[in-house]
Amino acid sequence: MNSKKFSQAMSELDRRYVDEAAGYKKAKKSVWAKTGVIAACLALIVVVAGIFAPFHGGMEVSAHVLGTDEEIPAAGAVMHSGTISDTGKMRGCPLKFYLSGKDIASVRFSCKNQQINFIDWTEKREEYGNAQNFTVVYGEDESEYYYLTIDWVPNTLIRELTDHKESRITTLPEEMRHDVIVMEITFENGETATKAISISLLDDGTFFACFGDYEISEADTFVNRPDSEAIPREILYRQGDVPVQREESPSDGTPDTEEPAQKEEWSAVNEPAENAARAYYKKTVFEVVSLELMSGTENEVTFSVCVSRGGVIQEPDRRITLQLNNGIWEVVNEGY
Amino acid sequence: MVEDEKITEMFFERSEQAIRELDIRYGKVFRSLSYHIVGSGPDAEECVNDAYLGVWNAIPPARPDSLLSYVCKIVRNISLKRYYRKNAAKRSSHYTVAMEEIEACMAGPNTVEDEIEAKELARIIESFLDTLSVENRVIFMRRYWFCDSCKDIAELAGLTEKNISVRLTRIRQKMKAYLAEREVYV
Repeated sequence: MNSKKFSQAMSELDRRYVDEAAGYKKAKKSVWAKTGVIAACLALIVVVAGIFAPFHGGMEVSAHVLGTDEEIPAAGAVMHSGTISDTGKMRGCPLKFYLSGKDIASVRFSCKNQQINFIDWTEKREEYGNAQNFTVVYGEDESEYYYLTIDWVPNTLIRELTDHKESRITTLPEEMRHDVIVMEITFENGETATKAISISLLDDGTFFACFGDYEISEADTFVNRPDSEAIPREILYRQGDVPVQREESPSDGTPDTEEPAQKEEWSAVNEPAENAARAYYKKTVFEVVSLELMSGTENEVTFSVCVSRGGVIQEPDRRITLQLNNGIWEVVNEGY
Repeated sequence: MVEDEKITEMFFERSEQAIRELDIRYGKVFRSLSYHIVGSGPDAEECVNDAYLGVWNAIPPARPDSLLSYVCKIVRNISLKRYYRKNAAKRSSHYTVAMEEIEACMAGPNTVEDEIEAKELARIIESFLDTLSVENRVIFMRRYWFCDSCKDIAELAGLTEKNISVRLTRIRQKMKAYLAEREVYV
């Protein structure tokens, strides 16, 4: 009779619960999620910019996506560098970025829920591995800022989806789907500014990010966590002058083991091939989500391509091979 | 379509048009609710008609804030009575399935002194419902009050059937823990 007692109790529930359920309208989740995030970002920017604008005019700082160099806008944008599935499978990386600006003395990074990994491709600064709070000395040489990259690492999120089979993106708790990286910036002249990148995981497994001014509130206790200890350089660079993390060429367009100049060379070689591959898919029903270099010579390149069709990620990844003929990259093979 | 306030006024004026307007506006909802409990079209039709008679007798003097939930409650009660009277548990209705799901959360020492009054249990369930998000609360209510199928709820919420099923499992687990913390056994 237990269920009967439960049923009787349900009959006794206050009418407001019945009203709420009876009048519930179908939610267009993805649209609202995106719109909500955009609106929240806009509100954040408008309100906080109004407060801080008079105090640090001219001290402009912007954040850019690594690989594409696109600026992360204040209104936000969907990151096309990586996606995650309901099973926790990551494709590409959700967000790697670098800061751009003038006369930045130092930046203290604080990541609320997940972790961030700072890499200095000039090998001059301390690194911290996957951490949540640390301070990076930027210095006067603005040309180096490009090589100070931050990788947002949502390991907790990935674990939740991979370890719990019943977990789905849409059922994840809010703190798992949203994160913020606060950047407390100190300029050479002593002025300060606080910026933040807000990241949201959308229902379709893509990530949405916006960059703008931020006001630290009392509730932001994550900012008060102490800085992580730097990784000793003898561990970080234990193989002579070659950093451990850079032995293998990353496959997602991130800076590789080479020096900055060589990196640009690497990109220059592959960029036309990549563009040709992307152009190829534009004529198909597929949309390229991410494109990873599998192998390449100066005359032939093969990419592994994650594509979506009608907004749905297709599995497995496709493979496209291009050959350089008379100075033009041509597709010679495409498929699985 | 006539609004709730006007329909209520018609009841106060003792106009039989009130029943017709009520049926035009919400008849589909009432029949669906009843059908999910009794599992039979003709039975559901009778329950809804009985509910209309009940509403006719209750208004006036009652003047419900929400006509929909007020009549839904009457439809549900009448349908549950019919369900139990006809030993409908042997049938395969949405209500039977929904109640089988919830049995696992309710299991406990089934002694007289441990049992709890329905009204008291209702207050505890209400406080539990207040801990849920609106979306999850609606999903719970649609399943265990309106006895909707997961498919129906999925359409309502704009989610997949699987998603609804997972959410309900989690909500039941959460409720089980919530009741156990308060040493509630029914």
